[in-house]
Amino acid sequence: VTTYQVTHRTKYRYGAPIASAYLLAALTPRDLRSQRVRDHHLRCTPEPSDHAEFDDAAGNHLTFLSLTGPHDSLELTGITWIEVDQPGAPPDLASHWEEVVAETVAARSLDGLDARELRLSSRYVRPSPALSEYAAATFDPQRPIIDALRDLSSRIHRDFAFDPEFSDVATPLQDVLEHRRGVCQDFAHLYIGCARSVGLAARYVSGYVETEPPLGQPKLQGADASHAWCAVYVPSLGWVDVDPTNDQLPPRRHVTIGWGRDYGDIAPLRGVLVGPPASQQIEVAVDVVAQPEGPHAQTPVSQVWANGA
Amino acid sequence: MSIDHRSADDYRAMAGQWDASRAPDGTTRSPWDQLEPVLRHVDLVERQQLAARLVASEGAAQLLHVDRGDPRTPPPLDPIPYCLDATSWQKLREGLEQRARLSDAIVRDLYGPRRLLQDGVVPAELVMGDPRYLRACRSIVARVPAVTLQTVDVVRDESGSFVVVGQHLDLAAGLGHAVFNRAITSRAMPEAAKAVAPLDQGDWWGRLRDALSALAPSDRDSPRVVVLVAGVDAVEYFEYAYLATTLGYNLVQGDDLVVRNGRLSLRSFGQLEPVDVVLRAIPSVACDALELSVEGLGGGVPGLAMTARAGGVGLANALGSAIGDHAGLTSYEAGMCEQLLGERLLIPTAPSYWLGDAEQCSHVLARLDRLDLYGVNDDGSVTITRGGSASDDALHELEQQVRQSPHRYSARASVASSTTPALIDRSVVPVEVVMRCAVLNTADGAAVLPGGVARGRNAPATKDVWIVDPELVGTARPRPPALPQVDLRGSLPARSAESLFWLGRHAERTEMIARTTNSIAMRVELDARTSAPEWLPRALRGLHEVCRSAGTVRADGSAPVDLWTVFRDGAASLGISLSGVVTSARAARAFLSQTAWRVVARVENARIALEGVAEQEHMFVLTESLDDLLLDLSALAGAGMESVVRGPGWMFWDIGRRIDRALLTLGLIEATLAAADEADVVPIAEVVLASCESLIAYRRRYRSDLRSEALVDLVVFDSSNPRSVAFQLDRLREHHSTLPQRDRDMGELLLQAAEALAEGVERNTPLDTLVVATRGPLLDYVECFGATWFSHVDVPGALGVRS
Repeated sequence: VTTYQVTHRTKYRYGAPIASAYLLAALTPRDLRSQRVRDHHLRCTPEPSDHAEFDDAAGNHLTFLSLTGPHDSLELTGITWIEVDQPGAPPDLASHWEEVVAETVAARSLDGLDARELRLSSRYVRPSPALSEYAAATFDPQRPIIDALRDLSSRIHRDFAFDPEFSDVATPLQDVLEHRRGVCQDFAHLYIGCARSVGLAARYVSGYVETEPPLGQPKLQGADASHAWCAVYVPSLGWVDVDPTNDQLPPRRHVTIGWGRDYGDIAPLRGVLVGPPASQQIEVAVDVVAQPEGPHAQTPVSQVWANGA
Repeated sequence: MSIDHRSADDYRAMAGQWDASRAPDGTTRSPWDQLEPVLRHVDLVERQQLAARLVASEGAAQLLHVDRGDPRTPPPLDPIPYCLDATSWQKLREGLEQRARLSDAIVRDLYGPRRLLQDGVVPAELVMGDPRYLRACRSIVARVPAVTLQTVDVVRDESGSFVVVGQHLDLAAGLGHAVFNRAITSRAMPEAAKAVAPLDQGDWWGRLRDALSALAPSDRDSPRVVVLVAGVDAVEYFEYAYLATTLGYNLVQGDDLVVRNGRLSLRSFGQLEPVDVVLRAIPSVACDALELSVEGLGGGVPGLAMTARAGGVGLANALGSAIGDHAGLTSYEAGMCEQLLGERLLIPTAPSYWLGDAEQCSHVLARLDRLDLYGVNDDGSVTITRGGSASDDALHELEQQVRQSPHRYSARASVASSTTPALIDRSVVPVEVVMRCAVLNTADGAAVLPGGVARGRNAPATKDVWIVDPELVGTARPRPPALPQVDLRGSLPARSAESLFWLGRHAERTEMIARTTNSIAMRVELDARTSAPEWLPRALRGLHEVCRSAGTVRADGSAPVDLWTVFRDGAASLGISLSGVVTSARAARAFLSQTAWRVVARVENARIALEGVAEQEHMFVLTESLDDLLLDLSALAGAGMESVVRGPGWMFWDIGRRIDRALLTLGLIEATLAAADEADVVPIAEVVLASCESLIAYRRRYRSDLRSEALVDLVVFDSSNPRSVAFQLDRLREHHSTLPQRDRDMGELLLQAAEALAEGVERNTPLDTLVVATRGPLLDYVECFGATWFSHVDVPGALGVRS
């Protein structure tokens, strides 16, 4: 068990005042079997005129915020203390991937229905011949499922360059495929698209990863960003997480916020600005720091709303 | 011109096809036996023309649409109603009531427990893979009912049985059309209504209002309902504007509404008014850019979904209801009815298929040329291809698309429809019709509108639907819905205020341009010796200045020298300002009396007529049509003065009027009289006086030669002349003192303008100096006025993203 303190700060400057803003934040990690939220704060400056928390269709904790007075900047900070169990490797399942597809298609439980939804194309993950072709090299007939999932992750990790300059969230998957570069969202989308192309159910996971510091150097504050990976549904095991960006199955030192069909369902921050800004300057800083054993581990679970200073 | 009166008698049904009026043995069915004697004695062509005039007088000739096909040419209203007897009605009513309950249960299940999917009644992929299934709405607990109102397209097949061919859950399209057709038909065919006594609809509209009120959050005493439309340019605008006016609700657009503290409010004159229920006329995906928007589809009210989730507003229908419009879903309707209602489905939909199912897909692909294919697009809209009329190439291409993503396609058989008598091209012939019926679903049960709209399938006609039940005799004259219970006198949506203000301005501009053009033309006719008298260029500069002040001159801005050019320019300017009158009036429709609205319809016709006139050779054609237009504009001004309640709405209208009358008069005087040669003065003065509608007043007062000082005295300084600049300033100052004080400096500006005038009288200021000194503060006032009252509409944009 590791306890992390996660600080996720997003700052917007609009150049000129805007009339109002409506935001939907997905910055509150879920409680899972493998992770327990000990404390969580979300602060917003200026003070929002309205806020409401709710769980979306997948059970993710979302926060609606509205700022209805003129303002020229916005700062939103989520701070979370969370205990995370380091996962063990999934058992080497004898089932081959075709069997997993067949079991998924036949699922009728509510979980199963949700999984079936995640076999379908979605806004950021559209099927294409190029995608199917890339996937085909992994999904040989009768290949055991876990082996296939590991192979797909390794191939993406090997074939694609991590390049923050190349892509943004609007970069279509086909450009990523063509140029063989992208960032974690792209690789998650790519992995999901490949899995779906053979009929597997795959979901997009939003969260954080602790970047391990090089030996003997202090951890760089603010160097991290929010992270994304994915998970594939194997009915007999549940959801199997895999991080193609770091080629990890299971992902280690990851903190999950929530999941959806793709980035569009679980973007850390979505918003509509009324009286659109002259410009938008965005700064994002994420710190995921492992905590020494201490008082925070005993902090009771609370969802605190704190207004900005 | 009159039709052969016996042609209703000569009506012959098509052999072998079920006909609404004729039994196979040639006898007349009930209730047609009651209707036909009346049809025999009225001139149907005349009645159709009467109906067309009534439609035009409602301003609907250009605006009423049944389909999105060709927006400019709505099918004519057929004066012959579509009649249903009591037994058929009973069957139809029961079937549609069941369907209303079923649709509601389906939508609530799919966004709630999803039993239909868990039990395999409906394939999960059909629902969850469809862009009309809005995932965000799964976390909104729908009120009961989720589907309050829907319209259903029904045909009677060849055997006379009812078959559903389409339904509209997301938006109950056609409802406004139904109430409109009823209003027109009962006026165009009073004898028929008396003889047949169709069931009255008033009770149903009352129930609709109750049902909408019942959707309000439980803590609201007298709920406020608004009708949310896309905008004046939207195809459905007229229909919903008519519906809103009939029901007594405010008609609003997305940016008129704002979410504050978990509630929805209407930006109204000077305040935010609570809104409790929204009757949507925009699709779910366009209702909230924050949560529901598909890429590239903005608009709506950011936060609306959250407000619904928090229980702060009721919606008819629930967000996400569009999934119920899925054509493929209906192929599972019998099972859904069994599962959700425990009932056998009474009126089935025409055979339908979902192509995501491999078996159904191959069945459909084998007979594409005989089916209608429904492809759903990413934004939830649907593209329909009629297989029967598509080319082989098109079908082949379609097949390729289907094979790529079959789950995006559904198909439906086209059912042959029975016929009914209709007036087409001056004779009564059998026409296949589709009825659009409206069904209401409330906590106390469902109710079908006794009537609806019938449309010709392959012939251009729409009809009112009459239900004839001797046991439930309606009143002879079908009544319009009862008066609204909510008092909207004090309610003025900010957008309506702006529209009324612009209605006043555009009407005044139009009037000034028309009157000036006309005055010049008539004066030229007097000068018989020459077609180019020496005073003309100065007069034309005056007209040019009026058009320029009215903002209707093309950018190059040079003053025209030739008479016909200016008339053409004048007509072009008139066209622009006339469009302004019609557009603003349309947007402020709820504030106009019926008479005022009919005048607006005449103004629209005048605009169309004028487009032709501009090319005419003879000046009298122009002057004559301008004269007619001026009469209509006087009627509009009169209706504004005499039949609009003196609330803030009227005041905005009048302020718009006064501002432009003052500005345009100042412009005209500056361009024509400042530094005028005495030689030109008489004809010019006549033109100016006539343009300011003050020629008679001048002659009565001065009984002398025209002198420019006396003229200026009358049209600028005389505060007893309703055409003078001084008079306009007095009215503006009065209005200003009545409006809530937002900005004291604005009152100062009006005072400055008035002082400039007063000084002009005292010190005999040169005319050009006087105009500048008065106009400056007035223009500043207009700018402040707009910024104070109309700065509410900001364009939304998306928050930038970066991980």
